[in-house]
Formats: sequence, structure tokens, C-alpha cells
Amino acid sequence: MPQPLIAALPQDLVLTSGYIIRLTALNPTTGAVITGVTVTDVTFQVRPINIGPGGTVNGVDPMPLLVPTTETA
Amino acid sequence: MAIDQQIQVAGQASAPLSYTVPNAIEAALLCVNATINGAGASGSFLPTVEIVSDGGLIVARCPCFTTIAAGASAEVSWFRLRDVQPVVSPTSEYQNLVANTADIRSYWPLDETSGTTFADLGPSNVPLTAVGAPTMGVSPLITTGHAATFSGAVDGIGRSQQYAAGIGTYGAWPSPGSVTIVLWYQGTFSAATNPWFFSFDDGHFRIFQFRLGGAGVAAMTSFRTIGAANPVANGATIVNDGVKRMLAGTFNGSTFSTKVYVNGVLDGSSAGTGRFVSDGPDPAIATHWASPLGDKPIGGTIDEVALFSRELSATELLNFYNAGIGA
Repeated sequence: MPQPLIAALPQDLVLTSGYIIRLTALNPTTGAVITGVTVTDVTFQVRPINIGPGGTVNGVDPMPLLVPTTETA
Repeated sequence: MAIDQQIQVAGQASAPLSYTVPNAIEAALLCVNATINGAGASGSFLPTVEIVSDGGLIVARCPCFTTIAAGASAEVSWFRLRDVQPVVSPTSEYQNLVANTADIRSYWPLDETSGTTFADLGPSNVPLTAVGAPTMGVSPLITTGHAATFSGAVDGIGRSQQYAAGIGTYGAWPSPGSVTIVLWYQGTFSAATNPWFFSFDDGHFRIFQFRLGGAGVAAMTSFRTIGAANPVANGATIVNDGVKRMLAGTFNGSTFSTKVYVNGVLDGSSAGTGRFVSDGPDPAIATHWASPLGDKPIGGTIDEVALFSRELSATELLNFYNAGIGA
């Protein structure tokens, strides 16, 4: 089983209402979106500063799948 | 107490996949995981997470820098970079302050515990050779690190027996030729011989001297062209009483004034007509280096010797002192 590839997210970015996290595939030379790519087993882990209901994934509310995973001080 | 949340997306989706942040939420994105399947991809690609503002602007683009070939798959994890807090020891705090002060030329912390060389952490990089085996690795005069103790002894013809000296590589001194010397001293050496803490000589003539004088005060002298009066600033505080102190001497190349500071506080000053000349002077600690004899040695413990090509302000020197005592 190969190890996952690792990439970095910015440390000081705060997401607010209306922001979009977009998982995409880009041409390494032009930056254009490559079509025909599918994604599975997608998870986002976030640390809420202030939270409310209403997020959607491709228009579908993922809230039923929202589960707490880590408790931090 | 914050509870991290994991948002799972069921099943398979086509890229780009977008998650819209809900109303009334603020959150930090910690991690994104995904299995990327390029079986139907139109070309090789970089799996990428983009953050798009509510105005449609891409505010962050986070590619995985491994190119996935068309037809291949990969599992990718994006992690938020750690918010690392720098770890600064008390020693490096003082050293960072001194070494990052504008116009530093040489900085000899004297932290070595053995050997015959004192490293220069300043940009001029003029290491000093320890002559006569001064005692290295003694207790520091600031909060941490080490210092060096010099005997102040002379031989039968008056030559220094323990000192540290180097061959200058300073080049032309920046206009208008100002200077500041800072060091920490603790000792009870007699001031009768006007012994030198630090000398800066061009091989023949003294450029400036920072020494004990009078009844045991710190004294700073700048030497001008031969035959003219030299400005001498004598401090008021007795500094050879065995108490550790931070001593500083300054010379202003525009006003020709010299000043002496003790523990970051002005202790004496003098106006004058001197000028500071330098095109490659040689530094020395605990002796007068210009003389071939290397005379006028001082005894006692010396620490954190720093040389600047500018007259440092009282505030800067007081900040040095406070950092040195851990205030």
C-alpha cells in the first residue's frame, strides 16, 4: 500500500461563510483544470471558531456526516 | 475548548469538488484527504486544493507537487503547516539582539570553553587568537553562555601574557567614522596602568582605546591626527570593584564626542576634535595591541564583546543591558 502524497495548506487562513474549499486537478504546465478525474474518500478536517448549519457539498448538505474527531485544548 | 470537525463526502464525485462553508461559521482548515482517480483524465495533473472567497477569488492554491499521470491514481493528504513557535534560549536572545543591531561589525561572545580561538559572530568575521591561555569557559556575565578570564600579568619587559587579538579585515570604516564598543567586565584589576579592555589599532597607532582609568572608572578615548587633542570620556562609576557590569564606549564621528555608559546608563562624556580613522585596524581584548609589546593588559573576566560602526543610542545600550541580565 503506497503512502499518501503530502501537500501543505496555509496555516493562517480562516474560512468564513461562503468560502469554498475546492478539490481539483490542474494541468502542471498551464494550470487549467483537467477533466475526467474523480475523487473518493474525501474528508475535510476543520477547527471551528464559530459554527452554524447550512454547508453544502456540490449542493448536498453533508451535515449528517459531520462527526467530531479530535478534541483539543 | 475547540472540537475539531471532520466532514466526510460520501461516494465518488467528479473533480472539481466544492465544499461551501456554511453560514455563520469561521474555521481553520486543518486537513484534506482524498483518493484521486485519473483513469479518465484528459492529461497528467496536480491534485490541488483551492480556497475560493465568497467573492469568487482564489485566495489560496495548494497543489500536491507530484504530477499524476493520466490513468493513474493517488491518495493525497493536505495538512495545515504547523504554527511553530521559535525556541530562543536566553543566550541566543542576547546574541540575537546584539547581532541584529544595525551596523554591527564584530561580535565575540567569548563562549568557547577550550581551544585558542574566539569566534566573531559579526559580519566582519575577525576571529581572535587566544594568546597565553586565558581561562575559557568561566561563568558568564550575562545569564547564559560562558566568558573568559584574563590574568593581566606581564613578563619582565612589560608584555601582556594573556590576551586575545586578531588581524583586522574591516576595510574602510563607514563615514562619518563613528564607533561603539560594548563588553561586560567583572574584576578588581588596578587602574594604575590604565589597562585596556579593548583596543583597535592600525598596527602602528591607536584608533581608539577603551580602558580603565582614574580611580577605576571606564574611559573611552578616540585618537585623531598626531599632535592634536584627543577627546577622552571618563566615567564616574568605579567599575573595578568586582561587580559585573556592562560597559560601553562610543565615539561620534560627526560631533567628535565620546561617551561612556555603565549598565546602559550614560556615565561620562567629552566633546573633542578627534576623528576616527580606519582602513584595517586590528582588534584586541585585554591588551593594547598596537605596541609590538602588547602592553597595558587588564585582568578580570570579560564577556560579550561587540563592535559597531555607529554611535549606539542610550536606549539601545539599555536594551542590551536588560537582555543581558534577563530583565
